[in-house]
Amino acid sequence: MAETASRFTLGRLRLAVQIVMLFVTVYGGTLVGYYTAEKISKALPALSCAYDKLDGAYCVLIPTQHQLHHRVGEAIAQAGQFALSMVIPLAFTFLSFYLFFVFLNKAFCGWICPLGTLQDLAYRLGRWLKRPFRGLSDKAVRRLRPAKWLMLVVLVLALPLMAGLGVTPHVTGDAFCQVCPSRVATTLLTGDTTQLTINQKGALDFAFGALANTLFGFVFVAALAVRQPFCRICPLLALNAAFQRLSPMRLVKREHAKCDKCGICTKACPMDIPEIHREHGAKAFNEDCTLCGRCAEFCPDDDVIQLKFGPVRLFGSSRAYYKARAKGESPQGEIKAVHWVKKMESTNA
Amino acid sequence: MRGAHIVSIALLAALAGPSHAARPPGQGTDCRKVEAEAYTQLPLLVPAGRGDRGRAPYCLANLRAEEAKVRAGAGEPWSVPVAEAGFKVAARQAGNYHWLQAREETPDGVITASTVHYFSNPGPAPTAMLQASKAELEIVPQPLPREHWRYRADETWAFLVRFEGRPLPGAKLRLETSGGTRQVLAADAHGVVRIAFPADFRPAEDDHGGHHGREPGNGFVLAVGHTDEAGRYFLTAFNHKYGQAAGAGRSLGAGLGFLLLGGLLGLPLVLGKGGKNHG
Repeated sequence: MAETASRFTLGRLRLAVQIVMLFVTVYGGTLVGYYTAEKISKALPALSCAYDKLDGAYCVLIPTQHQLHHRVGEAIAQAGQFALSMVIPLAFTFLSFYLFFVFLNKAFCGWICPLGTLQDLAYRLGRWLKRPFRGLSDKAVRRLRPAKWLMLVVLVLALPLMAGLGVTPHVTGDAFCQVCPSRVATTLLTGDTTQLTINQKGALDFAFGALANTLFGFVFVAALAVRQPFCRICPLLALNAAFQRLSPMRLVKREHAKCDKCGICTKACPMDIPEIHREHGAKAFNEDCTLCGRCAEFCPDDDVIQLKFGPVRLFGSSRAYYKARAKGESPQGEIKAVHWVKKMESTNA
Repeated sequence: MRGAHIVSIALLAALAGPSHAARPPGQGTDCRKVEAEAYTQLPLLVPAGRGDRGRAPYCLANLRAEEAKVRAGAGEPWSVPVAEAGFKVAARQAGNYHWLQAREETPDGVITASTVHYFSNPGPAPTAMLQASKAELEIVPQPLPREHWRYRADETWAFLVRFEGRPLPGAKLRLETSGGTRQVLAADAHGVVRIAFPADFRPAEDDHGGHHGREPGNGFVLAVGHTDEAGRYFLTAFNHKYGQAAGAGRSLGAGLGFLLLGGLLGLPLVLGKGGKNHG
């Protein structure tokens, strides 16, 4: 079992899926068809950017902001009243979003989001460059949590709606996209530097551009030492969290006597979630969880933490798997050189 | 021979000339005025006002027709009556790209004017619409800009010239823009012509004023002529608009500066020894 686990790990499977999906979300238009991205996937619960001309999918935040801006807001401003027909397109956006979401829940964040993958790769680069590990304390994690809800309410919902009402300038009609690091990162991956440039024709345009690029620079340098820095304030994580209890895909943790003295799961968690260590049951599946599965991989006891789809167990912690996994990598993601030396020696022998 | 075709394009267009007296197509737009102010004598289908998510008014310029054909997705085309040189196109159930075409037959030949209109509602991809044969002589965008994109100055876009469904290698096309550009271009051996849209915006228009395709745009028309074996002459034109270059009014230097600032702010996290974990 240990040998099997050393060859096939959930972590390796996730990395493979992440790389494939990075290509699909950034360059996928060339595979699935030039027009497909805007036809089937405006509801993708991951930051695949519509500013990328080659992408194979669109992030749900694009139609959400546009519908609030151009349909709901403008209609209220023009007609002076609210009608059900204004929100029907928005309802369909959320319905199609949920159709995607129901299968993978927040695994979109941990397995598919291109920005999540790029931050993950940056962190791996940081390990390779021997950069320090900066984990967030329980207090810091809890203090940061409201930020993603604030981003969702202000940048994704309120400002686009107010732009449609004519209260705020047009540039706020897709306020979140204006500051989203994924917009800059994914378009740069296609060789397009346009989104890196800053619009100089208005103070607000300039301010949005300056904020976006500063955030982008900070996120990718910080990601060398901090796991998933932007995910902690990402409004899509908040939107996903709002629906996470409705999906059959979930993280399950049962109570275990050893948990109080262990805490390796939180050390392995790229979002530093303390609840996975201290809680069990529904509380352990925290709003910050991206369903990456690292807590289950690094839990040293059998079936204490599981990834489940309805009644089906997809992956569960096991002592044998943990022993094999921990030989090659620390919970924080440091690659253990000793393991590789031993592996090479055994191969040579 | 090809040179003669180019000349005949201009002549035939001139013959088509300003059409009959026209009144508004329903949105207060005088199509006669639209035609008189057109930047070209080549046939055009000109948006007459902004329209909405389901309907859009158009004017005909430089050709006469009693009806316009509309096509969306893989469905059959339908006719829209032309009244006073204007017509209104209405989306049928689905949105997305609609192909609009008007046709005039004269003793000299056949003139067609085409454009595409995008309705901001979900609808089928335009692949089948573009593949379908819509006239004897056609200029087909390869591809159309996607929803969040548009033709832009300094970008190169391809168009296929085909006659009776087959590519027309070496065809000579005329490009005219409202910015004043006049060019003759040749299709390659596959009938494809690649156009680098010119940055020919006038200073007064040199202002974005927004984003998401809301900024001012120049009009362009691409036209080609062809005589078939029976000696019948065909002229077809495709017109649309293009915006300023994506980088116009934007600074890469400032972008890189703020990127560097962000990186510097993150640097203390990366330098030194590891911090306290999971306090």
